[in-house]
Amino acid sequence: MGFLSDIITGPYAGIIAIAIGMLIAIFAGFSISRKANISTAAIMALSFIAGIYFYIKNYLAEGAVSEVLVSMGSPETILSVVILFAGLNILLFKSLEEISQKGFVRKLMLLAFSIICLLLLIISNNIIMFTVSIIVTALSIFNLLASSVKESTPAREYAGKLGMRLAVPAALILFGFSLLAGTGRLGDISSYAGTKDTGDSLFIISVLVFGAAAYFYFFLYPFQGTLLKLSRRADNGSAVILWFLYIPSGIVLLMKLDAFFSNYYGRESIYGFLALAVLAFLNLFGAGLGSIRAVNLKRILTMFIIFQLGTILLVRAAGFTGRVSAYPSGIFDLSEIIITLMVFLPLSVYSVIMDKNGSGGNIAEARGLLRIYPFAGICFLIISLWWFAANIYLFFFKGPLPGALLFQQGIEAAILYIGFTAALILIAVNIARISIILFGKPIGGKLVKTAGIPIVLYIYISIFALIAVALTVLTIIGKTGTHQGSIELWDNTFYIFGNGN
Amino acid sequence: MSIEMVFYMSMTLFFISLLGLLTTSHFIPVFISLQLMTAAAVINFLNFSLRILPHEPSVKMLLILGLLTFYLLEFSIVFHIYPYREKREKEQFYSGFRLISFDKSNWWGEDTI
Repeated sequence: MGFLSDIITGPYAGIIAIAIGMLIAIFAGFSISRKANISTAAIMALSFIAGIYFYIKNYLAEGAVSEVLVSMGSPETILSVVILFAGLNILLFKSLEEISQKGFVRKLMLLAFSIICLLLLIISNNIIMFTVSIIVTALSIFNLLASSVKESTPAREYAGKLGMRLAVPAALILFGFSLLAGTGRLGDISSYAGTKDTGDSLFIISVLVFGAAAYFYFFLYPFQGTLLKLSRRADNGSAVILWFLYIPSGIVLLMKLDAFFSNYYGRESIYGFLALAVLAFLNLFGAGLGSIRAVNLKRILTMFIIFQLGTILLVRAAGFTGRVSAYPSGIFDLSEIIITLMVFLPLSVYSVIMDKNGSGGNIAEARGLLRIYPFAGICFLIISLWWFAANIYLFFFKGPLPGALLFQQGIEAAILYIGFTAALILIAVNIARISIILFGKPIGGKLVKTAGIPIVLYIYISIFALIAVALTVLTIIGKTGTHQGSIELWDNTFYIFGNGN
Repeated sequence: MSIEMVFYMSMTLFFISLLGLLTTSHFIPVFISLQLMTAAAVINFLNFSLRILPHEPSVKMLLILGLLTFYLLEFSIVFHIYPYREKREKEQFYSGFRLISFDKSNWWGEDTI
C-alpha cells in the first residue's frame, strides 16, 4: 500500500492517471468500431480529468514538493492543470472531426503521450530530465501532427518541414548545455536563478543560445513561414494541436529557461532592450499587418497567436529597462497561456463552423454567416473584445510597467507603450474587418450552404463567452486581478512566483 | 591540444552549422548542418567533462540521453519523409527549406495552396 500511496500522492500522480488511460486505450488500438472509438475517447477524457484532480489535490495536501529530478510548486501545478485542460479541448475537437475514422484511437494515444511528455517537462528540474523532456515533447508533438494531417495533402509536406525545423531548437539546447558544462557546474535548473556566473562568458553564450532556441521553437518572425503555411493547410483537428499544444509547450520551455534569463532582468542594458524590443515589434506589427489582407481564418488566428507571443518578448524588453524583476515575466507568461486558450479555443470553433457551412475557412466566402447565426455572432464579439481588453489590462494596468507612471519611466517605457498601442490598433482593425465581413449581407442574399451549428459547439462558445463576461465584471468590481508575482481572487492573494516579500 | 583550442574548434563548427542553416534551401544541407551542431555539442561535452568536470557523471548522462532523444527525433522525421514514393513529391519536400523566407505569402495577405 505504501508504494501505491506514494504514486498517487507524488508529483507523478497526474501522469500515471493518463498512462492508465493509455493502457486501457491500447486494447482498442486497432478497432475500427465507432463504439470503441467513443468509449476510448471517454476513457481518455476521464484520465485527463483525473490528472487535473490529482494535481490540485496533491498540491493542496502537500504543498510544494522538490525531489532529485522534479520540483512541483504553484506555477508547475497551474501549468499542468492548464495543459491538461488544453488536452481535453484538443480531444473534443479531434472527436468532433474524426471519431468515426480509422486510426482515431492511435491519434488519441499520441495525444496522451504528448501531454505526458509536456507534463514531465513542466515538473523537470534536473538538467538531464529537462533536456530529454523537451526533445521528446517536440518529437511526440511532431508525431501527433504528422499522423493527424491527411495523406496526399500539402499539409503533409509542411508537417515534415515543421519537424525538420523542430530539430534546430533541440540541437541548440544540447549545444547550450554543453557550453554550460564549461562553467564548471551543471546543477539543477532552478539553481541557476540568481547564480553568480552571470559574468562568465561561457554562461552568457549559453544563455544567448537558449534564447535563440526558445525563439526558434515558437516560429516567430522571420521564421514564421512554416507555421503559417501548415496551419493554413491543416484540418481543424491538426491546427488545434499546433495552437493549443505546441505553442503552450513553447511557453513552458521559455518559463523553464527563465531560470537563466532572469539573471539579466532588472539590469539596465540598452543593447538588450533594443534587441528584444525590435524582435517584439517585428512580431507585433508583422502579425498585425500580415493578417490585414488574409482571408483564411486559420491563417488569421495563427497570426493573432504570434501577436500574443510578441507581447511576451515585449515584457522581456521591459526587463532590460532596469525596472522589472523576474517575477512579472513569470506571471505574464502564465497569463499568456491562459489568454491563448481562453480566446483562441472558442475562436477556432468558428473555423469548424465555416467548414461545416461550406466556406472552407475562407471569411470572404462566409460573408453573412454570423448574421444568420446571431448568437454565435454575439459570442464572437464578446470573446474578441475580451481578448483586446485583457491585453490592455495586462500591459497597461497590471503589466511590467504599470500605466500610472506612463511617461515618467523614461524613453524606453514610452517606446514600448506607444509601439504596443499602435500594434493593438492594428489588431482592433483586424477584428473589425472580420466582424464586418461575417456580419455583412451575404453575396447574392445567401450563403453557399447553411448546415447549422452543432449544439455542442453552441454550448462550447457560450461557456467561454460567459467566463469572459464573468472575468470582466469581477475585475471591474475588484474581486479578481493579477499583480506582479501573484493573483487575487475574492480578496485572497495567491503568491505564485516568489513569496511576496 | 589545450582546452581553449578544442573549444575554439567546436565554436567554429557551431558557426559553420549556423551559417549552413540560415543560408541553405535544401533538406540535405539542413540535415548536415544539424549534425555539425550536434558534433560541436559532443566535442564541448567531452572536452569539459575530461578537463573541468572529470568526476561528474551527469555530463556523460546528459550527453548520452540528449543524443539518443535527438537522433530519435531525426529518425522520426526521416520515417515521415520515407513514404513519399514519387520523385516529384520527394523533390518538393527537399527543396524550399529556407529558414528565413521573404516570399510574400509568408509575410502579407493570403498564400495560395
